[in-house]
Amino acid sequence: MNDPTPQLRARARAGDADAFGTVFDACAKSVYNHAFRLTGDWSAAEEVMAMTFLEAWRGRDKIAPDGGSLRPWLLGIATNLARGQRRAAWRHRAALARLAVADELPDFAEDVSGRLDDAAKIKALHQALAGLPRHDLEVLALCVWSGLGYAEAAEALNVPVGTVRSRLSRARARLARLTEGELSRPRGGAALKNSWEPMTVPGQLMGGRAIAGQVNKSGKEEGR
Amino acid sequence: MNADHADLEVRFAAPTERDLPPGRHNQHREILMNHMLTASGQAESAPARHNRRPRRRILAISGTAGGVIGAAAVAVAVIGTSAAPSRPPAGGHVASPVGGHAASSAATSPLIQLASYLTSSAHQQTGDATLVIRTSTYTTSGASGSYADLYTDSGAYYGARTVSGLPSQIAAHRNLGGGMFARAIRAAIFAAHHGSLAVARKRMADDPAADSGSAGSEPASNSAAEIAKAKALGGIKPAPGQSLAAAVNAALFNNMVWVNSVNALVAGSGNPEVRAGVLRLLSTVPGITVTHAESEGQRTLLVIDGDLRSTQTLTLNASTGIPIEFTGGAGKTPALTVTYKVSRVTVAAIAAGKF
Repeated sequence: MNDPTPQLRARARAGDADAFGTVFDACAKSVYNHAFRLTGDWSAAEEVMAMTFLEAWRGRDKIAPDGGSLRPWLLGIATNLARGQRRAAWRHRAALARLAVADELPDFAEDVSGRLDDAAKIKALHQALAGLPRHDLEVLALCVWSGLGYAEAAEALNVPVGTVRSRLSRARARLARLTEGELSRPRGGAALKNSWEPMTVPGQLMGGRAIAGQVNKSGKEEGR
Repeated sequence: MNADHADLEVRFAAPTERDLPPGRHNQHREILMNHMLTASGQAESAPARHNRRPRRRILAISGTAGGVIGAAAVAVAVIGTSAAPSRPPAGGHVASPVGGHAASSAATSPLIQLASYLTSSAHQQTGDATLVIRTSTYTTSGASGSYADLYTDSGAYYGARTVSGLPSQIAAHRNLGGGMFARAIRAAIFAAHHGSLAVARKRMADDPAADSGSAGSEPASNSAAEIAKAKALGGIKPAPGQSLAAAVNAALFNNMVWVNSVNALVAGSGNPEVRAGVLRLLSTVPGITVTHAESEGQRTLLVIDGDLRSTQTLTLNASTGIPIEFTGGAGKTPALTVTYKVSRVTVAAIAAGKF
């Protein structure tokens, strides 16, 4: 779902908190899933999503006056954060954990197994795509997985549209050489073969009452 | 489905999108709204011109870097540049705790001492970029990976899995920095040369008013029940007269100072001004302790952020402040260890494949 009214762009740019709240409602899920596809970790994705909107607020003066949805811009911020933020914010996480416990939240244990499956699937995808340069992977993530058009991806990455096209074309050419067997076969053993480092300690999950209470016990974060 | 890349969508289909876990959307929204309402109404202004690092006379410098030791030992970076102080500050006992809440003992903090030493000593810079060879190792899985990060003094960042991959990144102008590292480095340099750490903290946290807005200006609205709940949970504890929301905001703010400072320390590790500024800033983050240690005959400072349950530790060369290692995780065995090998280089040399 995109933010429904392009006019929100102007209000958000002017520092209207309510407008940002509306944009958050419309785009948080998309940013969250994009971040997951980049990091391969749901808890890391949640942190990237949260940091994305804080960063967006901080840099709201960079919003172009004209344009439509702010989603491409937000996905671009998330891409940068997922790329550069190797060490997540444990205090931020702790703050979220406090609020999580303070509220009476439904347990989402049934959801956990599905999320683990997702993580395994995205890990396999990352391994299959390990030969792609990071830039090409990011374009693929934005265009193929998040459904952005070329112009939107260009806006997200702050590069010309032609660059997006060429990166995607290059990715396609490289991936065409992979056989189906190579795509399904785990590669690399214990070594990290993809271009991204996962942001969080493996096995960490965030959310839910029980998990939230364990945040500080489960290890804080990683470094870049 | 976009017809232009439908083939890729089919072949590399990602998992179906999921909602945030129940309740999390509203929590994040609440935090965002709270942050926006307590922070400044103005976006961060462009950095002042005086933040720019002054031009320096360049002298001959070796530009060598430190070595990375195995996982069991603390890695040691031997700084071979003439930028390294010839005489380190006092201290240097093995694992001797020297600080509690660093923010409350800033005057005696080893971080402040080292920062003062770095800013008062004569330093010469060579090159126009810092090359960091970063190796990350995950304890549980045994996974590891090395990366070559090139941070230019102008704020650009180029990354590749190996140094040999950098020339193509430079040639293609693939600057991945996005201004992030440049901002943090500017804030660190400001902290190194200006008295107001409060202002420096705001700049490092990327929000000019977040500190004042979250660290005590909010009316006292906390109840005994709120404080008791926070105490029971551990971690974030409102100060007397401080609401839980204000404490959360303060934690968020300090987190940004910590995260961005460590980013700046790594990205600007070849610049003693940056290191000095970061050390000053780290000394202001509540809950950080500093411990002297020694490894492989080299004195180090362990900057520890966390508690007995979960800890992040940044290991610095005690004489230069150059980062050596970062660990994070619960218990005695860190879940992740990142080592850094730092050297000063020129972009031209790297671009030309001269490593």
